[in-house]
Amino acid sequence: MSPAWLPLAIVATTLVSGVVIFLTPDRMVRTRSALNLLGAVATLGLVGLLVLRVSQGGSYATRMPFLPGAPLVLQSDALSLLFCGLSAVLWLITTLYAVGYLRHGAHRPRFFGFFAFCVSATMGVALAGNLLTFLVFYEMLTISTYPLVTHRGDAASLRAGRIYLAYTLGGGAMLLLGTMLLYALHGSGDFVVGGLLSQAETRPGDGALTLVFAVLIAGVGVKAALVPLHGWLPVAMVAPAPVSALLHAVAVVKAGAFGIVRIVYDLFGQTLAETLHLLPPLSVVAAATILWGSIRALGQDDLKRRLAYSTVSQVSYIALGVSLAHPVAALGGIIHLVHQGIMKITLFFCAGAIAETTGIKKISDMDGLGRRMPWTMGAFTVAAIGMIGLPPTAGFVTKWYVSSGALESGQTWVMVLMLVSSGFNAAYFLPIIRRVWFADPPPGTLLRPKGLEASPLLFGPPVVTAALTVLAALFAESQLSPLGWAEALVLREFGFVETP
Amino acid sequence: MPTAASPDAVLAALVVLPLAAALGTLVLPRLAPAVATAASWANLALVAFAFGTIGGETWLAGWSAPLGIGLRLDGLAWVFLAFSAPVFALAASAGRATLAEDGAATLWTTLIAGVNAIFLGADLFNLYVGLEVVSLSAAALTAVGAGAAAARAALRYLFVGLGGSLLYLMAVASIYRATGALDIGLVASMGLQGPALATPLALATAGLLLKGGVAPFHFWLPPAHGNAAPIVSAALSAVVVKTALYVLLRLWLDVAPQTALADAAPIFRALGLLAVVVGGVAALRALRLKALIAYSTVAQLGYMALALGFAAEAPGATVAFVAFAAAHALAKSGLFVAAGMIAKANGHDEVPRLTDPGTAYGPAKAALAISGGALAGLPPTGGFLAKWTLAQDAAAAGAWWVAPALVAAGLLTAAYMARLATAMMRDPPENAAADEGGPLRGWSALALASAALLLGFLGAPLAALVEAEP
Amino acid sequence: MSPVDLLYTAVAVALFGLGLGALALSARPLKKLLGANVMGTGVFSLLIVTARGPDGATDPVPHALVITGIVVTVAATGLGLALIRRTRSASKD
Repeated sequence: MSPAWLPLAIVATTLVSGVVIFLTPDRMVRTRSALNLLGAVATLGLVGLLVLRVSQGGSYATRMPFLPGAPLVLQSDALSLLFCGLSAVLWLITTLYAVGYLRHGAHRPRFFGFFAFCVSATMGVALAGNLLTFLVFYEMLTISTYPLVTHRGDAASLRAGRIYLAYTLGGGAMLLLGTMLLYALHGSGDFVVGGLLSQAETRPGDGALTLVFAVLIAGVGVKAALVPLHGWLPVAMVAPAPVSALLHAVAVVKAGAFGIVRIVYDLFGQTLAETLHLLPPLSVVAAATILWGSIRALGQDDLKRRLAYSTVSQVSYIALGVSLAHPVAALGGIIHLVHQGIMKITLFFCAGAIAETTGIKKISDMDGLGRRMPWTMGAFTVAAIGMIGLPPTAGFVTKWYVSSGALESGQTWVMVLMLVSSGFNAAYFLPIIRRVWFADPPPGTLLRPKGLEASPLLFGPPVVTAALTVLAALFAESQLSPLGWAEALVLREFGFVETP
Repeated sequence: MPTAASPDAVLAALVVLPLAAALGTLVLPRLAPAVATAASWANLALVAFAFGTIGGETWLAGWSAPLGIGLRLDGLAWVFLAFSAPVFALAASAGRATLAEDGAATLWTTLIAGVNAIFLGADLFNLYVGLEVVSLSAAALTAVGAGAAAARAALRYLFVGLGGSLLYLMAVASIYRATGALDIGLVASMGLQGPALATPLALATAGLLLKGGVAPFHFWLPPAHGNAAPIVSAALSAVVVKTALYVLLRLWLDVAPQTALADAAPIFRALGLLAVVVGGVAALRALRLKALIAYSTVAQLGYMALALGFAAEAPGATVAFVAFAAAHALAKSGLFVAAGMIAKANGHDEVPRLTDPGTAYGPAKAALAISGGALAGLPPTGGFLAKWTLAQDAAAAGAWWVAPALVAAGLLTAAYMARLATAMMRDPPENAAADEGGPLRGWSALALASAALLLGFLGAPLAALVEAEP
Repeated sequence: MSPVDLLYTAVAVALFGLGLGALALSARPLKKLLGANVMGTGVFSLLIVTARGPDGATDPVPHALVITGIVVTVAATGLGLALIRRTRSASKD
């Protein structure tokens, strides 16, 4: 297959998987699971191929005619591959997890079908080469995640679904408006290294551009859970754990954060963003979100809701890093796309495994759980340490880079914020760890079973992703790590990178 | 355009074949549904074939103006034919039971004949005849098979149709008095102005807006579209109302000078916005599924009026008008057919109580989702193409408020479509009925919805067809 | 236009207006239907007045239009009456 078609092939494979899953008759469970896994493996293979080719110096773009004067473009730059790779790897792992989790559930064809569509949309978002393509797949992500949020079909799920749609369609509307305005003002919305508008010979007026920026950021900010647009995330936790894990900890929020990176760097460009003073407000919003998310997380007893607010807080590190106008901080922000993804997915995998195996959903019921489910809680502990930002985890790498960049650019307040945030993270994760390992379970409960602590499909995935969390840190210096990719990216954007 | 086939035969057949089929349904009553369905599909094939004769014209039986019946096919007419034909074909296949009702098949085929005659019509009076044929067939079809409410709605619809047609006819008479001509091209070259132009334009516009169901003249539409049989509602919303708006477009674009359209533009824009708001709010509050969908039609017609309001300043607005018409026709017909199936499976059509009809209804549910997305203007559907085109063209003409207005309207549409989405996620009670209609209905609905999706990618060809000089 | 023509035209327009009023404002279906018929008569009368040429010759085109219009109106009235009967019988059930 000609490599120029690779980006399209990646999106198409996932899409076709979804369609095939829908068309498979209900009763053919094993066939459907096999097809599903086949699709996930194939996608991973294609993404790997693309990464290989690009690392050898190739670059690929697929153009498809769409609207007059505004084609759909899928391309493969470092940033898209970062997100693509993350999604492909985690889709495979999550599919295994989901098969185990939903073993006794209903409506499985619908679930896995829409799951595949979601991944397809995420791939499309990652590979989008212009704002219009980004918009198309961004909206597709909203539509395909809705049936997953409301999967259980009960009143709480349906209510959560309505709130979810209200927020995400509202965000989509803002994004659409921004896209329409930009194309009307400038004629195109291509993602160009260094910024389309920074490098344009003629560009629209400053006032118009500021308005477009605000509208676009509001649009992607809903999915990125920027305060005050974050309300949907805790509510969406009624969804089954695989949904919360992959979609709400990884795909959906990352699509929003990814959008922020694209808008700031590839649409507006570093120089224009600084000229128009667009970045300080973004920093403020990001900082507020980091703090607010952590504060709310402290007050939650439900494990998934605490993790949801933690996500709200953590995803804003990306926005913060990007808004500090310093390459090292930007590096930290961008790499957090990957790091937060693997850490958070671990935590959600564990939460789901706990709920499915023991029925426990509240932190106050988790005393002594470490004895009952040592592997699961081990993975949880590793990921939690990552969240707090202690070495040798991926989370530490992120905070180190963001803080270094902030210090070098003289924005000491960010360093303080990082420390305070770590403090909050410790405040809401350490008690859980303490309970789980050092508290005694209520008498007669949580006895260690003979054999495996849970289905291997349920505790295997979090162990794998926890290991990745550590590996990402240990091999951070190497070219092959996500950090190496991100460095290449930032190099092109800023023209230089000083690694501390 | 190269004319490989003789335009005479193809264009004439587009009107004569459905009429012949109508006779066939009377002669072979037991085969009537089959005849009507076959004629609908033959019509689709003819329209596809007619693509090669764009730019041609014919005079039936060789009688030329002013007493003859002239049929003219330009790009714009072909696009309208091209989205109407699949609606008739697929709806006919999906509604054999309805077509088997007394007289339904005959009315269906007459309706097709009338619709084609309007799209191909080259002079103002024959447009009147076409409008009346369509009105009568449509009003009668509204009452077919359905109960008392439908009969009352059909009667109201008939009165509205008659009133509108006669207003239009008065306008035609007025034009004839002033110019002595009826052919569209001829009248346009006469250069009417002042009261001699304004009076007929006002009369005709009033009549056509009434027939088209554009707010505030929409009062008759929800009862008629909401009470008729599903495939009839599909044909009514998708095609019939579009015929009136088509004639309106022809009148303002081809007959009236550009200055007239520019003067009247604020009125159309205002009416358009009114329709969007009134229809959207009513759809949000509707308790019954078919009422929701019917009010959605009211709102979507507003988009067309809005587009017409920019056609003088921005040529692309005409493309947007056509795109709105086509996308709505395909999406709405798919939606009505799917909704009919789902309501039947549920045993009722009260929106708050609707549930998932089960896995046998997969295609119907998919049709519901895609159609809903097309109507809300989600990318990459035809609805999105239409909104994008209008927003860009209006912005180029300086009207920056159109983009936010369209985005807000899209959100409103999404809000009431979300009510249907919620219903589909609700598990059914234990004793759910199985699909009684056979798989054809679901797949027909899905085919129509998919066409609305496909339209999203056809912006360039559409613009080429619509904007080409005749 | 001669005074007679002017009178005919005025009557035609008046008929049209009265018919429209009856169609729009009457409550009873049969009255509405008759109103539509009167409207039609108004338009047809106007067309017939138009047929009179300046030198006394008649233009056949308006006559053709009127004949077509009458046929259409008859059909419409027939449908209208059928629907009125159906609504009456349906409301009796």
